[in-house]
Amino acid sequence: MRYRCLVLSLCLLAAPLSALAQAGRVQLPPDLDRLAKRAIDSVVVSLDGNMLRMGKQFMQSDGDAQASAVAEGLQGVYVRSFKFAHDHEYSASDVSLIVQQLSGAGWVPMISVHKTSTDENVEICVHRDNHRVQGMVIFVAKPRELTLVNLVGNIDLTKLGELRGQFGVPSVPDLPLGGSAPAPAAH
Amino acid sequence: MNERDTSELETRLRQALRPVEPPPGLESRVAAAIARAGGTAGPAAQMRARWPVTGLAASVAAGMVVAGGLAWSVHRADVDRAQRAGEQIRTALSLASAQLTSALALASSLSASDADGDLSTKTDSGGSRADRRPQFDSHD
Repeated sequence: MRYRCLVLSLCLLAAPLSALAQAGRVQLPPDLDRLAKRAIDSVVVSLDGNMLRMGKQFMQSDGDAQASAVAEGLQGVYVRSFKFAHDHEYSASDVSLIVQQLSGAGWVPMISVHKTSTDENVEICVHRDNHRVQGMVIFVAKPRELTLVNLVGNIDLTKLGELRGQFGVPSVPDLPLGGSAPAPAAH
Repeated sequence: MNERDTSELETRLRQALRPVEPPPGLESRVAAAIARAGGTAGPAAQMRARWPVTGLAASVAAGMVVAGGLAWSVHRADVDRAQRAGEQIRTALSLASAQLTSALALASSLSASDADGDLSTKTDSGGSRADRRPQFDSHD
């Protein structure tokens, strides 16, 4: 009886701890990866723990200071990006779990764009804890593209913004990216 | 020296040089005496005596070579994995940066095209939870 109480107490303690450890991480739908079979171009990245540490060490040794500075606080990197040959190769149900999570507590939308003419939806949300960014999600849904980038950990948005123009990404000047995460939205 | 002396000398030499069979057990007694005295054995015997040491040394050397090879291959695999992980981080950051740039460009164009009612953009300026809830059209 005493043993059961101990196990139950440990489970009750472990639940919020595990939730805390996963703060900023979006649970991916289990069948999301099957979209890769239909996609003409796909990027699937799942990095955490040891692999992420190894990757960061490699970037540092490779002299990529700017990118490794952004990656420094990362605890997890999860990317699913699919480009399709035809429109609507994915359904709303494929992304409903993601949308639900981004609507949940802790997530604050930074940019939310819905363009009806091109059926383009862009959500950039951050997960904050004590005004520190603990996670970030970039979710792009277009008729022929579905992209989810989930960066877990302490992310310096300024440094991420400074990567514009890096890796062949065109720089768009005069954008109000700013140096810090925006203030929490009023509820 | 006359002929008689020569013949006698020959006889004595033949007598001295005649083949003599060793007495029985002489070979084993000599070997035992050599072993007791720590005398030197022949090359074949030396080889037989040293083979455990030589074999052990060869095994250790071979083990070191194999261990070194394994360690190198493990290190190589780690380096390859780290390189792949680094490339994946770069890919993710590249994608994030590109999408962030694209979204910001789209948002910044709001002021120009919002009047058309084509674009609805919400930045983090407030609003109710319902307003902030992402909404996506069904693509079914």
